[in-house]
Amino acid sequence: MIAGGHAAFNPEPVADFLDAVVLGDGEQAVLAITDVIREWKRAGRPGGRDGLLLRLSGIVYVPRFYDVTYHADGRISNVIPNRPGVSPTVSKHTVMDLDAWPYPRKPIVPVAETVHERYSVEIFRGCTRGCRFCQAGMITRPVRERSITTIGSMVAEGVAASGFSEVGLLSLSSADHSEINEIAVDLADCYEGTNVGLSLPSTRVDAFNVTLADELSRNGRRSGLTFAPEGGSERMRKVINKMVTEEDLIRTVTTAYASGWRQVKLYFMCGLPTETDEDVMAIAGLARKVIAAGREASGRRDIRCTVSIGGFVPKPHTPFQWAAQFPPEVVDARLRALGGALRADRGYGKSIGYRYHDGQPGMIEGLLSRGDRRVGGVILAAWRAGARFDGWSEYFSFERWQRCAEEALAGEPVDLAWYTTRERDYSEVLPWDHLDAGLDRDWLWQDWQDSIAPEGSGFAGEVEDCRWTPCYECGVCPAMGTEIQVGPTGERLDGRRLLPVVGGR
Amino acid sequence: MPVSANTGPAPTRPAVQHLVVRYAKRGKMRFASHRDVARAFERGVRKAGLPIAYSAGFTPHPKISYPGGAPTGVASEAEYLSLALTARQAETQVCQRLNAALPDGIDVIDVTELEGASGGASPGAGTAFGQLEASEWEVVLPGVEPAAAGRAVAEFLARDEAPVERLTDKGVRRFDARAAVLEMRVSEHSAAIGNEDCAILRMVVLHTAPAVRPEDVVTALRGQDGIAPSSPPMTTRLAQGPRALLAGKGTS
Repeated sequence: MIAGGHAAFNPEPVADFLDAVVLGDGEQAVLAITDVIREWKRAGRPGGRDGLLLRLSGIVYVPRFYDVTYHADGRISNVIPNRPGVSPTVSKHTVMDLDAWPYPRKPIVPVAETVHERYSVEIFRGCTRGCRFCQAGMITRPVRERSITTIGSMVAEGVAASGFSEVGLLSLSSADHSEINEIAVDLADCYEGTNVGLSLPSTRVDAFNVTLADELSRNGRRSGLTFAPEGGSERMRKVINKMVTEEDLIRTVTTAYASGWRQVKLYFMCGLPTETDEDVMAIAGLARKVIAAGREASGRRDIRCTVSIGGFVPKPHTPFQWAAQFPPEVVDARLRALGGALRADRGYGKSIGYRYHDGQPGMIEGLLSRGDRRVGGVILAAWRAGARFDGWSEYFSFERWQRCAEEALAGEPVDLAWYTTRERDYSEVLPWDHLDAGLDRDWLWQDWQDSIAPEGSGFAGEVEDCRWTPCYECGVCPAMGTEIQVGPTGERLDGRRLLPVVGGR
Repeated sequence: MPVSANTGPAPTRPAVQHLVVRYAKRGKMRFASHRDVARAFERGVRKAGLPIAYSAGFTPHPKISYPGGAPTGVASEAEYLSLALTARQAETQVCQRLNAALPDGIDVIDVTELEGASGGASPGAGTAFGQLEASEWEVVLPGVEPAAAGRAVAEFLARDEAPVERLTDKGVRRFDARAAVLEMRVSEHSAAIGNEDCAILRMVVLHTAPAVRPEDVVTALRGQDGIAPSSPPMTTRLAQGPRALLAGKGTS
């Protein structure tokens, strides 16, 4: 049983159930793993499963080859290899040339309808915006772009092979591609009049992103645009290093409503470090200003704004990995108060939609996010007690998880709250410290300290993006032997010649 | 929600050819819903590169029309749809290209041009598909003795009505399953699944509203001695068409 993907950067809660874990990019690692397995089979399978895992260790993380010891108070004392030849740390894999890996070429297309019915092209990997809550942005560094020409041929071949009528240009922050403008214009040219739609995922708050969306939608329907300010107040956005001013947001949505978009959706989080009731209530004021600006820009009253908000769960390998998660009662109370405030103003209430996630599932997400090997017993107990599809609210039972956590951790000095609402300090060994994403632990700690430092205390809180400003020494590139790979390449897509036309033309 | 929109409505080009496609739902594909099959066809048509016509408006849809599909879970050798094309294509070519593009189990059996519909106007469902008045069904009943099935069928046919209930989206509906059944018999071919005998029913059922499905007929038969299938019946639509054309298929 081999696991991978972003959640594998802390596989400790599921370590009991796994043989091996791949950290980082899978493309080359999969080939390396199959080579080792082939060799091992040819040699007559020496040593059985453990023999194979021993050969694989280093390429992958093999939980059973590490022993975890604990202090009397429940904190981890040490994580050390229990056999010779096993490295004390395991590093992530990084594919440096994404153009050499233009996959998926022929995606599996289920007959049953999926949530995202589209062909997705990853236009770049990694993000260095430095949002402190974002695990994806921390563990996928550095930024590596696909070239415009590779993207063009992936779109053409992917649409032809899948039959999808929509293409998503995906990445952690798609508008940041060095040639996103050329990509949008050229693809829109190629597919104009073909009924093949192009889309971008939710974007940063930036008026330029509206221009991009306009380009991709040309003469079509302009239904909704999504932006992610994440924090309601300017103070909160400084804490999370999402440097968007209220002015930026209003300018962006004004552009959107003025160019015909009817609905703007705004993503927020609740329960961020240092958050107060006022920070969350600021979202209500922001939403009202958005509607007011939209009505003025569009000259219509039927424009809408939807506020979508969920509880924050601290993630491993981020500056917030040491943070205390807010208990569900606090999150729920703030979400209720915000809902009330959004509905209270009769002039705006009907124009503002409100979607939120309850706090309790976030508590269990927090347990799984930052848990250690002792959490494996909780998961097993919950599964035995009937927990299935817990991501679906109709099947989720907070009481069952609480009960199972109490049972499974009965002999331990730790509990659900210990894993979630407790702040960690610098010296504590974290369950994933032996798994190396390349991030300098001291840099993460300093960034955490900067984020929670009171205003005016002299800390330089803001971290800029290293694609456009000097390196801020997060540690990834020297540790992993990697570097930023961005354009521009200067190439263009001559779509009408280059791309086969699919659809009714 | 992502930023999402079409690149704009394509200039609508008129349909110059209407093709009627007969296709089968085989194997695991019988579990694909009608809606999922329809979407698979839309993708298949695009993959095959057919010059499909699109509807006008902000969200253009490919012009593919469907009469009622087989219920989910039921296989079929006789499903139909029609395609409106903006450039004439050879029927055999369309058949081959669709089969290359569609998933296994959604198999195009034949493609025929609908004459007299090239004037641009889309033909109504009635004309496109002839008169799909009734279907011939085969129902395999695992663990049911053919003799017992024969007695139950005779009893059913002798009745004036056979009220059954089915759970629908709108709650439990009660309706008559007898009147729609034009013919029914037990096939002389016996079958065995594992070491169990199976009775095979053949029936011709009118398309009515509310629709009477083969499963409703089996529900009515279940009241009879010996009709307790050991596992869910396997149903296949064998043919669809005017009732006169299907006459005699369900009698021995």
